[in-house]
Amino acid sequence: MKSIWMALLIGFVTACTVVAFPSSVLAQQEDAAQEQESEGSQTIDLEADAKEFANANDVKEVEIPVIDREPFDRLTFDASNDNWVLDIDPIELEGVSRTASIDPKNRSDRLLFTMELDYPGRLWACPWSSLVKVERYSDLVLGEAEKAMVAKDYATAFRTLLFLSDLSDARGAGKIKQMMDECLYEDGHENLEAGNYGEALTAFEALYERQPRYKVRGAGSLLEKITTCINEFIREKVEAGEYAAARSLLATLRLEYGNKVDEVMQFWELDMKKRALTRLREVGKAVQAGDGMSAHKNVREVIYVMPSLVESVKKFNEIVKQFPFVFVGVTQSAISRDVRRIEDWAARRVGYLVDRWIMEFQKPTDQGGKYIFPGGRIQPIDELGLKFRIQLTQPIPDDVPPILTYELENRLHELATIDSDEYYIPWARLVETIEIEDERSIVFTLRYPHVLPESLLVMPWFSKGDDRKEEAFGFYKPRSRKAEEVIYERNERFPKKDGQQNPLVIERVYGNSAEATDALIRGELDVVDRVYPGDISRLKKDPMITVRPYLIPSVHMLIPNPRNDHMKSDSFRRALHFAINRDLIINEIISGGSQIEGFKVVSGPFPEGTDVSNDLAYAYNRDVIPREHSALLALVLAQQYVTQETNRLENEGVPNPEVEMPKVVLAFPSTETITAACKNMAQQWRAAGVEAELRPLPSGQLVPDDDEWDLLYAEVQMQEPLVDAYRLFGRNGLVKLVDPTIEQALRNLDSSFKWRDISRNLRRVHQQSANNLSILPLWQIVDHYAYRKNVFNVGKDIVSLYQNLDEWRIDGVALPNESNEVSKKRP
Amino acid sequence: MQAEFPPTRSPLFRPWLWLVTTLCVCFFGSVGHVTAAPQEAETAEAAWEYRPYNVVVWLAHENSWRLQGLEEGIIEGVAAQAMLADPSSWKLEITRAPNPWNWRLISENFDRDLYSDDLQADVINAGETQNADKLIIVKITENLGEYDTSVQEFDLHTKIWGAKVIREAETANLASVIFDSIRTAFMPITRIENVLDKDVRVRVRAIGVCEIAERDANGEWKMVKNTGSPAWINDDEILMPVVLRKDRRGNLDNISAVFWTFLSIVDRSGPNLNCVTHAMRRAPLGGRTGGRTERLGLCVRAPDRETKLRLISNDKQQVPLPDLEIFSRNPDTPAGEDSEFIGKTDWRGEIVIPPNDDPIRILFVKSGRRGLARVPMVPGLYDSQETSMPNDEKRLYAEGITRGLFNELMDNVARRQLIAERFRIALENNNLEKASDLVQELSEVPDANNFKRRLNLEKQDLLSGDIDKREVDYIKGYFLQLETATSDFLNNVKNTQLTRDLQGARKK
Repeated sequence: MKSIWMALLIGFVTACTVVAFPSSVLAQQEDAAQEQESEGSQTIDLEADAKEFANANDVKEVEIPVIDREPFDRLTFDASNDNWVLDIDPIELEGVSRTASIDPKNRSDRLLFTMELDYPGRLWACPWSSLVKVERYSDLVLGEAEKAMVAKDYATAFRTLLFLSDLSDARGAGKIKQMMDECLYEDGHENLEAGNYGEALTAFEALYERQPRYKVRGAGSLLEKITTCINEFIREKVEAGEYAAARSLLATLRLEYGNKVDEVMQFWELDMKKRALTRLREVGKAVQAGDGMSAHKNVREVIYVMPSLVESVKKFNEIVKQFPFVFVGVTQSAISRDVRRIEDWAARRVGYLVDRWIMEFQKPTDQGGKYIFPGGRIQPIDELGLKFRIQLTQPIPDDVPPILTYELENRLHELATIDSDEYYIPWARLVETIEIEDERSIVFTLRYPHVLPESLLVMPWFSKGDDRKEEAFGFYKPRSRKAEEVIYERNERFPKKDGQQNPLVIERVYGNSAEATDALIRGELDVVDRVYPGDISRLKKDPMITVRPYLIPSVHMLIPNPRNDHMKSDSFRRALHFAINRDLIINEIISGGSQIEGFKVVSGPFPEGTDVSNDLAYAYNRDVIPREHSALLALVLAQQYVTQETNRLENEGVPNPEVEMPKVVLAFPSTETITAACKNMAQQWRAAGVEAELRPLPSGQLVPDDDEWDLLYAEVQMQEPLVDAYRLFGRNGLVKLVDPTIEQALRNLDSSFKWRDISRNLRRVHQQSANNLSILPLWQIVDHYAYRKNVFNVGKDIVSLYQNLDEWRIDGVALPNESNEVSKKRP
Repeated sequence: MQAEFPPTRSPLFRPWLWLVTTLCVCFFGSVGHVTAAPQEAETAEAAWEYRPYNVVVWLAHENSWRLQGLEEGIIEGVAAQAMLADPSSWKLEITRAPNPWNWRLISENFDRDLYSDDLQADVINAGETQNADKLIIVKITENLGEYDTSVQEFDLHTKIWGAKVIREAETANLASVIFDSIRTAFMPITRIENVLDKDVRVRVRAIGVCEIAERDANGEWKMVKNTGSPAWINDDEILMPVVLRKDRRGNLDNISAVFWTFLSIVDRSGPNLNCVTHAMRRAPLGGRTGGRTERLGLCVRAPDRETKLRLISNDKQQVPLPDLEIFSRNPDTPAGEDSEFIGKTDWRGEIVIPPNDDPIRILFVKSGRRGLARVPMVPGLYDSQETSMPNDEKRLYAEGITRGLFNELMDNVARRQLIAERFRIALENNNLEKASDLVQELSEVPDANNFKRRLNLEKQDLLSGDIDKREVDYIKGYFLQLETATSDFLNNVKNTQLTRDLQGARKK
C-alpha cells in the first residue's frame, strides 16, 4: 500500500513539475515512422494532463528526499525553454555509465528519454542543444548531501552520503568519503558544543573507526575530542549517581583505547575514590552516632560507587557486624497479616513474620501438609482417628502466646459456635465435642475421621475481640511503619539463642519489580521477596545473587461477578476464555520469552505443581484439558450470547429488541505482571468484539469494595487444597456465585476419610468448576525470591520468605582481589 | 358514662328453649328415626356453631412476693377483659396453676417435653381440664421489676400445641399483655365439611354466638358479628388441618395434624368459610372419610418470629441436606414475578425462615436446576420444624457433568461450522492445500458418532451404583437431550462431505 501511495505521490510531483512549466520542448514519439526532426523547440502540451491529474487527486506538492525517490536524472533546459527543469528516467547512453557526467554541449542530435512513472510506454525526445545541464542521479544525491551539510543537518547529510557510497558505480568515492568524515566531525563538534556528549561521542567514535588520524586544523586531535566527550559523559553519570554506567564506560574506554586514555582513567578512578572516601567519612559519623540505617545506606552506596575499594568493603563488613540489617524489597505492602488469605501474598508473608498460629504449616508432604502445634503437641488417642489430644507444654514455650488451657479450649469452641464471629464451618462440621482433660490437655472428638484435622486449625490464637489479637506474637514485630518502609525487629519475648543473629528486617516497597531487582543488583537490597519473571535469568547470571523458586506455585484466575446477565451466561464466559491466548501471555509477556519451570497454563483452580512440588498436585484433575485459544470461536460464542438474548427478549414480547455486545470491567491488583497480562487480555477480548474496561485496584487492595466489576483477576496460593478449596468456593470464599455442583463436591470432601477420596473429590471440584466456569483459570506461576550471597539461611523450598527468619544471618563480603568465595556457611 | 350492656345472647340461646328442643327430639325420636334424624343433625350442626369454648387458663410463676401480690389482680383483669372481648363465644376460667403443675410448667424440662405423649396425657387427664376444650398456659417470670410472659394453648380435643406468644410487660399492663397474648394464642376451631381438590369448606365453631349488639344509624340496637372476639376468624388467617380417627367404639384412635398443609380463606358464607389448600403433598385431605373420621381446622396465629427449618433426606439414612436453595412466594404472587431468595441450608440442613407480611409463605426448595419440594409454612408457629425430601446427590452431580458436556457440544458444533466455512472459502480461492489442512483439522474435532460414544460412557458411569429411580429418570432425560442435540447439530458438517468436495476440486 505504501508503495502505491509513494508511486502516486511521485507521479503527481512529476505531473506538478510538468504543469509548472509554460511550454514544453518535449516531443512525444508515437512510433519511429512519425519521428520529426526539429532544430528549435517543440512543445507538447502536457499541461492539460498534469492539470487533470492534479485536479483529480488534489494532492499537495511535497519535497521528497532524492534518495527516497526512484533514481532519475535531471534535465535543465535553456532560457528559450524558460529554464525548464525536468526529471526523467536515468539516461541510457551507449558507453556511458549511469553515474558518468554528461555535458550536453558535447552532444549533438537529440536525447531520447522516458518517464515511465507518469507516461508509461512513451518515448520522449529533445535536442541536446536545448539543454543547459544534465545532472545525474548521483550528482543530485551529492548535491542534497551538500545542502544538508550547509544546513548543518548532519544526520541527513550522512545518510545521504552513505546512500551515495553504496551506489555501486558512484563517482568521486574519495570525495564522498571525505564529506562523510567531515559530516561526522561536524556533527560531533556541534553536539559537543551543545553538551550532548553521548551523541558527540557516537559521532567521534564512528569517525575514529574510519579515520583515527582525522584532524581539523586548530581543533585538536580526534582522540582528544573523544576523551573530552567521555570525560563529560562520565561526569554526567557520576553526578547523577549512575556509577555502574560510569564504570562500564571507563571499562569500555580502557578496552578500546588502551593506554591512550590513561589520564582520563586515572582522573576518574581518583575522583570516584575521593567520593567514596568522602562518603565513608559520613558512614563513620553515622556509626558513631549509632545510626545504623544511615551507615548502611551510605556504605552500600560507596560500594556501589567503588566496589574495588578495599576500605569500603571493610567498612561494610564492620557495619554489618555492628548493625546486622537485612533490606528486603517488596512490591506489595501488607494491609493485613493473615496466612489464611490465599489471595493476599503480602498478608501471608507478614502473617508468618509477626504472628503465630494454633497450627502452623511447615511443608507439603505426600500426605498433605505437615503441621506443628507450637504450644506443645497434638496426637490422635484412639484407633479410629476420632479423638485427639492437644497437650500444652508447661511452662508455655517463650515463642508461644501465653494462653491458658481453658482459653484455648474456649477458642476451639468459638470456632465451632454458629453465633460466633469466628465461626468456621469446616471445623464446626467436623468437631463433636471439645473438653478439658486436665490442666494441660484438651481432648476433642470428631464426628467422623478426617485425614488432616490439624489443617483446619491454622487459626489465630486469639479472637477478634481479644486485645491480645493485635499484639505481635511472632518471632518479629513491627518497630516502625512508613508509607514505603516497614521495620521489623526480633520480638523481645523470645530470648536470643546462641548462634542466632536475628537481624533487623527493613521492608521497602517498590513501585515495580524491575526497580527492586535493580536495587538488589546495586546492593541497596539484600533480598527481594518476589522477582519479576522476566528478570529471573538476568539475576541468575549475577555471581553475587542467588535466585530460588518458592515451593508452592500460585494459580492465576479470573473470578466472574454475576451482577449482570451476560456474566451469568455460559456462552459469554466461554467466549471470554477462548479469546485469551494464555500460552502467549505466560510465555512471552510474563516470563519474557524465557522457559521457566512450573510456568504453565492450567485448567482449574488448583496448582498442577512442579516436579519438586508434585505433592501439591493431589487436587489437580489432569483429565480436564485446558481450553485452547481460539479467537474465531470466541467471536462466534460472544455473538451467540447476543443472539440468545435477542431471542429471549422477543419471546418476552419486546418488539425488535436491540441487544449490544456487553462490555466487561476487569478489576485487578496493579502489580506489573498482572497489569501487563490484563492489558493483553483486554486487547484479545477486543479482537473478539468485546470491549473491556481495565480497573486497576489501589496498591494493597486485592478485591474491590464495590460491585462495579465483572471479572476479578486473582492470584491464589493454596498450600493445602483440602482446606483452601473452601477459602475459594466456600460460603465466605472469594468466588461469589458457586454452582451447587461445586458445593456438592466440597461436601463430599467432609466425608472423605482417605487421601484417595480427598483427591477424587477435589478433582471433582476441579472438573465441575470447568463445567460451569465458576472461575476462568489462567495459568500457574512459580514465584521466585532472590538474595545476595552474604545473606545466609534464607532457605530452600520455602513456602514463605520469612519461614526461616529465626536462622537468617547477614555477613560481610569478601574483600576485592581476594578469594571470591564468601565464608563457608550453610546457605 | 356507664356502658349499657345490651343483650348479647342470640334469641336462640335460651336454656329453656334448649330443654324444650331436647325433649321434642327425644319424644319424636321415639316415634320414628326418619323424623328425628334430620333434627339430630340439625341440632348437632346448631350445637357446633353455637357451642362456646370452655377455656381453662393456668397461671404459673415462681411465686415471688411481687407476683403473689399481683396474682389476684391479673386474674380479675384477664377475666374482665375476656368478658368484654366476648362474653358468649368462650368461657374463660383463669386460676393459678394447681400444684404440682405450677412447678412443672415453669421448669426447663417442660419445653423440652412439650410434644411428648406423656405430658399430653397428663394434661388431658388432669381433673381441672376434664370439661375444657382448651388449656392455656401463662408463664410469668419476673425480671428486675419487669415481667417476661409466655402464653401457649393446648387444644384438648386435637392435642395440638399452639404457637408460644412471648411478650414483656410491666406491672401496670401485665394483665392486658397477658390477655392480649391469650387472644393471640387462642386457636379457634373449624370443622372441615367438604373437600373438592384444593377447595375446602369449613364451618366455624361458636360462630353463631360470636355476636355483639350495636346501634345502627337509626339508633336501633342490632346484633352484629363480634369480629374483635378471639373466636372470630379473620379473612387473612390461616387454618391448620387435623384429622381425628375414632375406633368402632367411638374412642379416639388416632390424631394426626396434617403438617405442611394450611388452608387460607377465600370467602365466607354464613357460618362457613370457603378455603383453598396449600400443601406440600398432593391431596392431603383426601382419602376415605366416614363417621369415624373427624377433620378439623385449627386457626393458627403465629407470633412475629422466625422458625428454623431443617431438611433431611427421605431415605433410610435421613441425612441433613445442606446447600439447598430456598425461595419464597406469597400464594397470591402472580406467576411471572420472581420469588424471593431466602438463602441456602447450612451444613446441618438448616435455615432460618423469617416472617414477613404474608400469613403464609410458600417455600420452594431447589437443588441445582431441580425443584425438590414446595413447602407451605407459617413462620413463628413453631421454633423449629423438620421435613424430608429426596436426596438429590446423584442427579446433581450428573447435572454438572451434563452441563459441561453440553458446553463442549456447542463448542464442537461451532468449531465444525467455522472449519466448514473456511473450507468453502479456501475452495473458492482454489487454495487446495489450505482446504486439505482444514479437512485434517475437522477430523480432529469430534463428530456426532464420537461424541455419542463419549456420552454413552459418561451415562453408564453416572447410572452405576445404587440410585433412586426418579434420579435415574432425570439423568436419562439429560442425556436424551444431549443425544438429540448431538444428532441435530453435530451432524451438520460431515467429514466425508468435505473430503468429497476436496476431491472434486482437485479433479477440476
